Amino acid sequence: MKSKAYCSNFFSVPLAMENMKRFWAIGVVGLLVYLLSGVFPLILSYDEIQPYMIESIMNNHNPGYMAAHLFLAISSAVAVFRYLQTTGSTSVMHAMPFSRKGLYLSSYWSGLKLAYLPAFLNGLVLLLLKTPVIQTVYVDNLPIQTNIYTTAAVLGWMAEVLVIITFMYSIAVFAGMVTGSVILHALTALGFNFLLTALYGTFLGYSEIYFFGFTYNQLISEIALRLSPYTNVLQREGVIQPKAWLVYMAAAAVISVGTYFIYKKRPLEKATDSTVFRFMEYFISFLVVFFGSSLIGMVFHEYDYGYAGYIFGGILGFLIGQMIVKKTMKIFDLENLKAFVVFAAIMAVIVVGFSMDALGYERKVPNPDSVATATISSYNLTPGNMPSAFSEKDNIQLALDFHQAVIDGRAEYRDYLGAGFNVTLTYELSSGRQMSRRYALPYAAIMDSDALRQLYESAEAEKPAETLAQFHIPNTQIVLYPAGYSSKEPLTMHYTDDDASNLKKQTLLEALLLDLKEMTFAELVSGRAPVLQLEILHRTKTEDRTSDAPVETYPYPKEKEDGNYRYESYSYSITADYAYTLRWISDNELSHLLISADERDFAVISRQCMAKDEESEEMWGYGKYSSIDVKPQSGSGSLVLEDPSTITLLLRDYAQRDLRSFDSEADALCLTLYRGADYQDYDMYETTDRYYLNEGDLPEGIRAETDRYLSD
Amino acid sequence: MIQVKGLCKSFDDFTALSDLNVHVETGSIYGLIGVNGSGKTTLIKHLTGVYMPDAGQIEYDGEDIYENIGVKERLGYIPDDLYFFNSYNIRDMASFYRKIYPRWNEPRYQAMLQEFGLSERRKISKFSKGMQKQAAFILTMSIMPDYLILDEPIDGLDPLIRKKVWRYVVSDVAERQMTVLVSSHNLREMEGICDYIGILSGGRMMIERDLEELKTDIHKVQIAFKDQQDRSFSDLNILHREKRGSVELLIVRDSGDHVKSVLKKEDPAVLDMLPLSLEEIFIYEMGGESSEIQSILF
Repeated sequence: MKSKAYCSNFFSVPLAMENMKRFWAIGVVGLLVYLLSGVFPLILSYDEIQPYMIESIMNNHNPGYMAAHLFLAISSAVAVFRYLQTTGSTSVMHAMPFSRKGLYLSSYWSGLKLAYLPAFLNGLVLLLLKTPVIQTVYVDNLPIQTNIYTTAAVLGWMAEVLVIITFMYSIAVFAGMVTGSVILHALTALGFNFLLTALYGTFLGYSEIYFFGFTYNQLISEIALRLSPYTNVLQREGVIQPKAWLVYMAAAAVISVGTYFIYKKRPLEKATDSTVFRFMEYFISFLVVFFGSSLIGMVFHEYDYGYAGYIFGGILGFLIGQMIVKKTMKIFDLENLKAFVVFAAIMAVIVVGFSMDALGYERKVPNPDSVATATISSYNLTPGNMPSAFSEKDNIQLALDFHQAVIDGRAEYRDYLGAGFNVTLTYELSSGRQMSRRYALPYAAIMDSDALRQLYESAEAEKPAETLAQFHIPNTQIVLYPAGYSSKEPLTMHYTDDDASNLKKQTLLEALLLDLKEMTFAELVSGRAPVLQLEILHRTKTEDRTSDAPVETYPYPKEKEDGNYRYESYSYSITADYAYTLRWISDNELSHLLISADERDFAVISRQCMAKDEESEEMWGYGKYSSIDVKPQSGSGSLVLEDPSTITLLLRDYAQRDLRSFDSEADALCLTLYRGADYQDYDMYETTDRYYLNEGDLPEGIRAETDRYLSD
Repeated sequence: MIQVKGLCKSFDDFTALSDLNVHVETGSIYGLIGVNGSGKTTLIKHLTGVYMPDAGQIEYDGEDIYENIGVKERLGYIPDDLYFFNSYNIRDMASFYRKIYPRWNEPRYQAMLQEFGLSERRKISKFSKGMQKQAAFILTMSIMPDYLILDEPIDGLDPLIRKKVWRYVVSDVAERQMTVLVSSHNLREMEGICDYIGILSGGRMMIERDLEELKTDIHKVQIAFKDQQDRSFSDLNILHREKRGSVELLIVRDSGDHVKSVLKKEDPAVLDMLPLSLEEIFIYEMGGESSEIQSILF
């Protein structure tokens, strides 16, 4: 009979077919998961398929699909290469008329088919079920009605799944080549598929703990997620670009070829050992040490026992890792002790390297010539929450000067947890890369910064505010809220085509713009309590929906989406420094919206913010809530004010919302406002809000009173 | 012919085989014996192309076995640790063997199946160990191998089945010049089957001889004299000497004629030359009744 040697040397069809016959159940389970997760829900709602259902399928955001991809890739690899994991099967299979190349290729191919066939069949079913599903998608910010359930979309899904499964499968096969037991094969197949992401995430964790100024930005997250196509689909719209497909498939090919060469060298006598190659013992053992030490160290770091956590986690990880690779609990010998010392040294280098900033991350300030744009954003620093982006050379230098000053003061700022500003500095570099830093800084670091002062008083700093001048007034809604505690109805100036109303809105915006342009840095950071809250909602009109299109919602809006509009909102805390705006309020007879003594029965000025008999608990939106049963009297360290006009004056012109202007809390007077309340049939007084007063700035009359009642 | 030259293999720090040479003539049955851990299974795994040697060559009629599909198609192997595909019955395994072994003999397969009385459709995992061995034997013999490697094949088989197994093996050796290497601890059974014997110890071949030659070169002699005089028998290569009352028991490695002529000169009262079993040859060739040697006996 003709020899089949030629075929068996490269590929054995009988072996490949036999594998499909033996392990068909894996494919069936995978197919069932696909069908139950995607197809059946579609069939059940076939008359009115929601766009989000199609999106979750096509973007692989369907949890069932993701579970199926993972299950199929790993199970198939473990199944087809299981013969390498026992002595009997290793001997028999390699004594059969196959070369190692033939065994590898046949098993690899049959396993890959097994892993992908269910997805392919599922794709065919999706094609059979295809029906138009219309959704609004935005291209270059323009809305377009589009059918998202198309042949191209399904084929794209099938191709993307092929990429995901092939990549994960190739790693799972590699794991099988370097391990000697089924359990360890499965565990390492799973672990290796997320190893890079886990390593990257761990190093990010170290960065967050140790690097002053470290912040996640989108690019960092994207890099972590792009290390695997499986995690790549989790980001944004979940669609991997075709260029990335090629990269992943090329990586899978390289891994697979490398794995073949490992198989050629694999000592088959190592079947049933945990690992096949000596270096894998050390590698897996070190990984367990690394992750164990890092995880426990990071948890303990929360309680200031970080180093103890690293040591404890490292020892525990070493013991567990050694027991896993050696398959015995008897691991206490000289050789293992040497390995432990080496691992401990490596961990020490990592931890110390991060804590000592060996790579200079904290100290890095970009070269001014390499910076295209510097952006500073901070919630309380930039009105309307519009980040300030600076591209002029002088301003970029000022931003860098501020940055350098922060770095120079890092010994003081590193562990700062008090009240202050959270500032994010973002540099767009000429190279196209981005550099970001985020700092929690005390108020003084901002308020005393000459560089920031110059920056925010520059012409370029006015540009964000000039957006207000470009708003289309009929599509602008302005809401005025009383500041502080109030049950008054806000005033809303709606979207309208009425000229009179729009003129009113326009003049208000013009006043606001003037205030923003003329505001000094000192006023910007003064910390004065707001007298009014102003919110602007600007909408951009889109084309009308098609009349027969189903009601849809865009699942991942950048801004609020409602029908035919996209919205942008800006909030402003109007203080006494907003002279033009307040004049407009006055001219339009809206002064009743300003903060006042209304709805407050009395105010107490004291040196301490809580009386001894006050009970306090956090109350959302109003700071610390407290209550007292008896209305206090002036004296014994507190001054009680009942005159509404006095209280209003203090609130509008003298109140500070935080302690930024004071060297310490002891230097500030506390202004606490109360209102009477009925609670369970007995009288009590609740705080409405709290502010701080600078004793030296108080009006004469009040100053005299405070001297009288607040002196010790 | 199977030829092993200078085979060396180490596992980590342990030397399993050291400069090992084996020669198996075509159409012969070679018995490989040795204590546990002597390297038998390691040698067999090299012979079947499973292990990569550190040094040396393993050739089948001049062709290296490692990664040689052509040789493996003609090689039948029954390991001590059997393996079948999960949930498969004999029929399924036969179907697979049929596709990968070009000389698969269906009539022989069917005949052996009937003779051994195994169910074709029952899962092999449900068989007893002995029945699994029978299944492995049926499948292996049905591929009509030119070379047959058996690692402790008769463990777990009852005497009737053992007889059938050896009948097939001997018949193929006689009719098709099949070359057989069998490893076993059952020296009594090997004695009746093997043409050649190789004794392995510590990864080295201690003795490799034609069994008949081995037997003709070593004798057990019972001798008694009328007087009690001590005699040295210095002209003889005495492996073992033991006195039981007035009778002396000698194990001598020399030709039979030479032994007789030397002893007759001493005018013994009793002189009997008795054949040795393979067990006894093994014991005395390996240097006496050491515990290592005793352990090889059944």
